[in-house]
Amino acid sequence: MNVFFFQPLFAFGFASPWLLMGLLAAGIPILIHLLHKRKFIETEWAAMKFLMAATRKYSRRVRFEQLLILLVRCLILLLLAVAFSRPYWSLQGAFFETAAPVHRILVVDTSFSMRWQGDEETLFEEAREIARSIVASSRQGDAFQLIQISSASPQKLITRPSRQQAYILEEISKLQPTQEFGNAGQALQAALEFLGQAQELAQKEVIVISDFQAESWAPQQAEQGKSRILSLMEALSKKATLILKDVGVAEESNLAIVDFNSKSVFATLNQPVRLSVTLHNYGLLNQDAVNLQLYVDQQLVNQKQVDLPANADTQAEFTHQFTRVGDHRLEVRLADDRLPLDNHRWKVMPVKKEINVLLVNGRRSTEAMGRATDFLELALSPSLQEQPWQGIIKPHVINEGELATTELSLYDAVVICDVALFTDHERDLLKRYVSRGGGLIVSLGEQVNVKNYNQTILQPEQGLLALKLLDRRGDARKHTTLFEFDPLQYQHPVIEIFKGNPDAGLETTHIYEYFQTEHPPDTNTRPVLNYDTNDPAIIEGTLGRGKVVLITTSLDRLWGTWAIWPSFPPMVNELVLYVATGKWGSRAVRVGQPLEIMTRENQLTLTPQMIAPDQEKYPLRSVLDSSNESRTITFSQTLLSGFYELDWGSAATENTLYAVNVSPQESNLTHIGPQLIPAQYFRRPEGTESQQMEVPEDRTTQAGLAENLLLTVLALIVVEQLLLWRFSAGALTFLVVMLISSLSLFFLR
Amino acid sequence: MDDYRKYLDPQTLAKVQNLDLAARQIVEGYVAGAHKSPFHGFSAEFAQHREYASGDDLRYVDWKVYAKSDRYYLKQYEAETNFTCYLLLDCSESMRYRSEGTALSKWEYARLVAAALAYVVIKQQDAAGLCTVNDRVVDFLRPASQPTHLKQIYYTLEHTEAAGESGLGKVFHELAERINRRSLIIIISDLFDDLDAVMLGLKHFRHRKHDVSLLQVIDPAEQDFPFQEPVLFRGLENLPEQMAEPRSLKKAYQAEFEKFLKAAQRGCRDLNMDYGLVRTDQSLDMALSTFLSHRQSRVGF
Repeated sequence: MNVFFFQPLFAFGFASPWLLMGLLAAGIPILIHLLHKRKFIETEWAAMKFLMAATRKYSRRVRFEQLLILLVRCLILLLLAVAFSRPYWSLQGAFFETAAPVHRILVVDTSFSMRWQGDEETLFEEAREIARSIVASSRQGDAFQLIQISSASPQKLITRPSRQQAYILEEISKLQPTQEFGNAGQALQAALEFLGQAQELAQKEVIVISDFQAESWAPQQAEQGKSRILSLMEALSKKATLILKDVGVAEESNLAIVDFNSKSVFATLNQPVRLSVTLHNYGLLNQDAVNLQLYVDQQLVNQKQVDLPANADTQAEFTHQFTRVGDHRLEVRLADDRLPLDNHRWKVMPVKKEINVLLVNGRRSTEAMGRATDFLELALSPSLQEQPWQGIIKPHVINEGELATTELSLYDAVVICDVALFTDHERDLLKRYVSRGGGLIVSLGEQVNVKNYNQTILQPEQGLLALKLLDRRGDARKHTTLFEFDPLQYQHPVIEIFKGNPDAGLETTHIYEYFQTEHPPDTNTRPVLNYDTNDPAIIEGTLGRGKVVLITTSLDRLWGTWAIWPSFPPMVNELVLYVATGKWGSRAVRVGQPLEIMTRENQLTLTPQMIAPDQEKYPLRSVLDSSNESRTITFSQTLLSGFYELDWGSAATENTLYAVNVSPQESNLTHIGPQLIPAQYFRRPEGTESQQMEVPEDRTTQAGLAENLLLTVLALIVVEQLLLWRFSAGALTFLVVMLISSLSLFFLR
Repeated sequence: MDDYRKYLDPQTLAKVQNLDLAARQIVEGYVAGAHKSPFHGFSAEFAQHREYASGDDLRYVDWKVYAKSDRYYLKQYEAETNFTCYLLLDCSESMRYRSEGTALSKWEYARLVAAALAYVVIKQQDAAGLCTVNDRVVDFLRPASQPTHLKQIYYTLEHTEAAGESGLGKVFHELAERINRRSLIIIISDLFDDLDAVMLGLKHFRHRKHDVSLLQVIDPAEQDFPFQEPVLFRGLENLPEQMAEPRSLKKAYQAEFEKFLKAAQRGCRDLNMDYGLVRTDQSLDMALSTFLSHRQSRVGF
């Protein structure tokens, strides 16, 4: 084990430094002396020449006498003040006077990298044992505070300096390794704050017990974080003795699953879903044929052998087809190593039977395919009477007047087609719907009142999308100009399916008319698809948790051929699925991050509870009440990795699953080493721990410096009287007292 | 305390404004104290013959005695009966000093002593002269024995203030030359001057065969140095100011002062002069007795 110990060679301090205020009393004789000089009487004097002769002859001696008496008086007060301040000193770690108690701040790393299993015990157990032995070998009067290096769990465990050894040991025994990453900077900051406490204890130590894992102690990605930790260590070493106890391992080999993901946030029945797994070998040696398993609902469904090259990411993929609707627990497992926690990763896959889409028609018509939503409905659900459509998207068409009375939260997405006007009420409904995770697609057309649009749903501050509609371009009646799509290099995920697939006809779609738009700078909108005129055809924006998409042309045949073009069905299907993902966006978080749960109106009366991976149950009723307005529950106790199950407490509502995974930051066990922390923090070589811990017991009873000083003060009081009575005798005694005092200090060692 | 003593107490005498009255009070008080006047031997009826000695004026040789006895005797009685006394007072500024708690300044004390002595001398029909000096001769009254002269002496004493720097040595030389007739010269001073120069001056007097008596008057504070708090001493006779811490300086000062007193005493003894030391807090008879007792022992002069 390496021990980094930073301590000055010679230390001098005061156990009660505030009593040093008494040093000011040393000024009293000087003040009296000065005042005395100023207060005098005046008289005429005849025998002046004798006075002058006496003064001439004796003034030097008198001055010397006065100075010596003044010195003795000042010394009396000075030594008295110093003695009451209970001074102590130490040389090279051995304390001359060990009576001075120490204020120790223990900083123990409980991040999940400390779970690394050694031959006998984990790193954490080793660290806890060190902390325990430090406390056990402390002396009476020593005060302790305890901090753990975690991120979500409270870091300050003993916030007030405690002198009760049993209590401190109990708190240390309660320490458990977390599954969080270690926020070292925050812990050091807490230690720095703690140093301000227990002012009566002048001798202070900060003992950090950690594996000094590079990612936590010197974040490579954040240079600022790194320098912050260094500056904190510097600040700590200025105020206290900083002792770094490294329990880290020399050979850092660790395999970890750093990511487990899928392109789609939900799956549909009987449709294969691709699941991608990212693995990382943090060791220096290649690992071949490592078994990787996929569990679905705790059943092993697939496994494969993967080769993991040293210090590199490796991608693996599984494909799975779900046969049951609802949330599914997905887990990938890697063979256990010495740090097993990061060899598992969890994911929740909601499987939907159908996606409900509300189509709002703005143009009534009795003709076949005459309504604004007809082509869209057909594209989303191409059912024929003799062959019902088996797809998951279920469109439901309403007329624009019904929008205000429809419960939008029942739908995963809403598509608005050629609606002429919006009221403010409708705008607010849509806005609330989107911000809570709903998807909204607005397509334009002949009926659209530009002014109304710009004042309601596109209003700069209260609208749903930050842009402005301008004039129309082209003429759908005369077909004077043809516009085609520019796929913008197929960067957007919705467009990505058309990449390398020219037969789908995206780029050959003909549009005759569209609305031009104006985008204010610095907005969160981005184009999905452009026209060849470089005007946007489809624009995406976000609002709250939901997505809003504006299509600047119509979704029927009036303004172009798109509705009957092969690119139309896949395009609108992708778009609808894309905007509908808002509701599933946050089913996975890292340990310590809060889960945000959206509730529906009809769930408000329920008494939900969250079941953690350790089967601990957290009632959410009170949380629900307090956040009634937003209908959002924030669950913060995600301190363990695994599945969290939200039980709504009603048979009618299915439980919702969430997956919580550890941060891959802690998987990299690379040790920080002296090259990243300046050399001055590593003054103490290995082995200082024993010196530090083994303070000889018999020294605790030695007469202290304070007693010695008090004796000197007593002697000086006698000397002062002697000086006034017989100066020569007094001066001689003064010299003797000083000599004896110095010798006794020397032998006090 | 005897009754007469209260008339000699400086505290009492300080209240007596009239110098004549004060002098009479002193002398009468003193005489009442069973002391014998030391000046009786110098009365006008007294006469004697003295053997001729080398240097004597031949005009005074009694040739009748020579004819009878073949020896040279001088007729001295006529001249000796005309006894003259010079009262020489130091009126320099240092004599003005009076410490707190003391009734009389040195000057006032010296003045009283001089007045008393003048009274005694003139009452005996002898001549008394007065000379006040500082660094020069301030007043000089030739000796006379008329009672009116006594008044003049009192007047002069009353109207002389202690001022100016002292330069006794120089003045003594001057007076030694000026006083031709052998006289009794009584000097009253604090001698706060260059002692060597003073002694040289006195030596000059002695050289001129004057009978010199010295009465040194000091203030009790000058000897005891009773100050406790820091004091700013403002020097008299143009001496500078001096800030001093009395408690620490006391011993040194007193040593210097005693050394000075001893030097003065020794100087007088060496010159075969009478020397008396009085403090202004002492009774006047103490001063007179100290001084006159010496005189009595020298009556045979």
